[in-house]
Amino acid sequence: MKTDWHDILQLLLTATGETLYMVLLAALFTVLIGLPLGVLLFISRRDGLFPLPRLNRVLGAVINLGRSLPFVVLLIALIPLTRLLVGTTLGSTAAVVPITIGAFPFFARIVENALDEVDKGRIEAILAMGGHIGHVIFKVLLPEALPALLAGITLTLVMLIGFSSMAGVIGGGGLGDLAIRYGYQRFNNQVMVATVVVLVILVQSVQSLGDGLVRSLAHRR
Amino acid sequence: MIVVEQLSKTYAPGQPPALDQVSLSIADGAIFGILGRSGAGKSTLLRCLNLLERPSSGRILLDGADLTALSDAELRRQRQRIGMIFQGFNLLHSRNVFDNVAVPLEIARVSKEQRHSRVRELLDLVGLSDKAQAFPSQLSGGQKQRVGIARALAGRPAYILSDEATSALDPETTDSILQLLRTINRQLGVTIVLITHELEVVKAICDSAVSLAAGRIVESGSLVQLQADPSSKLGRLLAPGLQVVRAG
Repeated sequence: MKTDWHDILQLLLTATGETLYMVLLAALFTVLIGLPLGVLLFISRRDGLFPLPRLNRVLGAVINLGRSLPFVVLLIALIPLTRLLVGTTLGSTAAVVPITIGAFPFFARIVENALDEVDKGRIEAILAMGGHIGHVIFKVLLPEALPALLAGITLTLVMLIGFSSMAGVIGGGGLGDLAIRYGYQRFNNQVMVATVVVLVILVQSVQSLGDGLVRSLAHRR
Repeated sequence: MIVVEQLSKTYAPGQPPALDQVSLSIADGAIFGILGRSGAGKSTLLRCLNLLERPSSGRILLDGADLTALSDAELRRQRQRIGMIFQGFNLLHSRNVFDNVAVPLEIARVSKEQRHSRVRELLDLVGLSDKAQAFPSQLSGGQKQRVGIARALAGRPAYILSDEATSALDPETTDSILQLLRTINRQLGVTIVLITHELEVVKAICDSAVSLAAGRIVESGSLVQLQADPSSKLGRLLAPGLQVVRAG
């Protein structure tokens, strides 16, 4: 079966738009939830700045639960929640819910690890000059960990592109959906190959952009 | 004046105490040295003076106020009166020199204009006016410690705690940093408490000193007293003329 190149281009454009929409919206929510959660995980450790060992254990367990489920399972298991939050389980907006929930525990751990890498002496210096925990978070932890956080966001974006492709399974649209409908169900190799090419370009651009940002920051420091 | 009364610190039950019933007083305007080998408890003692380390028992009186009895907010206010400098400098690598020195002023909610003039003044004092825009990674060790000293002085503290501030520096740089500390002490009247394992540091700038071993004070007194006392081991080690002797 042959498809007109014009049609393929049209399909690709729509699907790429849907993928970008899902990835960027999910990335926004992932950072909004994952960043404060990662900070909380870090400061609530037993030897942390604001020790809450019990909360820390509960959070850790919930995050590990989120990370231990394969994304396809999560995608289907979360259908009721998606319906509750978005009103529908179909389409790109609906897919943002499971994608975000699949990604933020991962990102929270990345944040926690990035903050753990910050030299403890710098935290101590701020405390010694009379700073409180807010000063430590906003003057030391987040700015000092910024290169690591940006690298983590890059990693998360690439993972989100992967997640968004699986959203095709539940009718989420995007490039994964295109690959399933044309490449898998209709044996249309042209569309399949084009999808792969676009995905590779997408991932490469995100990675190069992220690496560049991290490098320009690290260069200054 | 800093008065330490019966200070003890045990990190874990069953372990020997890091500090064992330490009492001392530090006069205003002095440069006070705490000397000891590593593991003697000097770092713990210094870190108790601004309560970075909470003692197991005993009191720390800062101009009469017992630090161990203060609320968190009051403790933070007291800490603004105590500058601290570190062996590892502990500068923020995300900020340039100017903004590093400004941190304590930001914490103390000093207005932007006042911060600017104060930081300029301090960079002038430590001789780094031309490095205001540089980042810490672009500085030498001695320059980093000068930034650390400027930062410690920013909030016009009455006290400076120095945690092995020259131990990571070469001998010439050490000398210049010690000179700077002495200048600050003389010009601004800031009391300096320093810990070190190097006798030369004590000899070069301290007015009085204690030696610490296994968490206890072994000897204490003014440098003049110690040097004049023939029975004092510390005094003999600190005797003028003796070069390059190390305690550690």
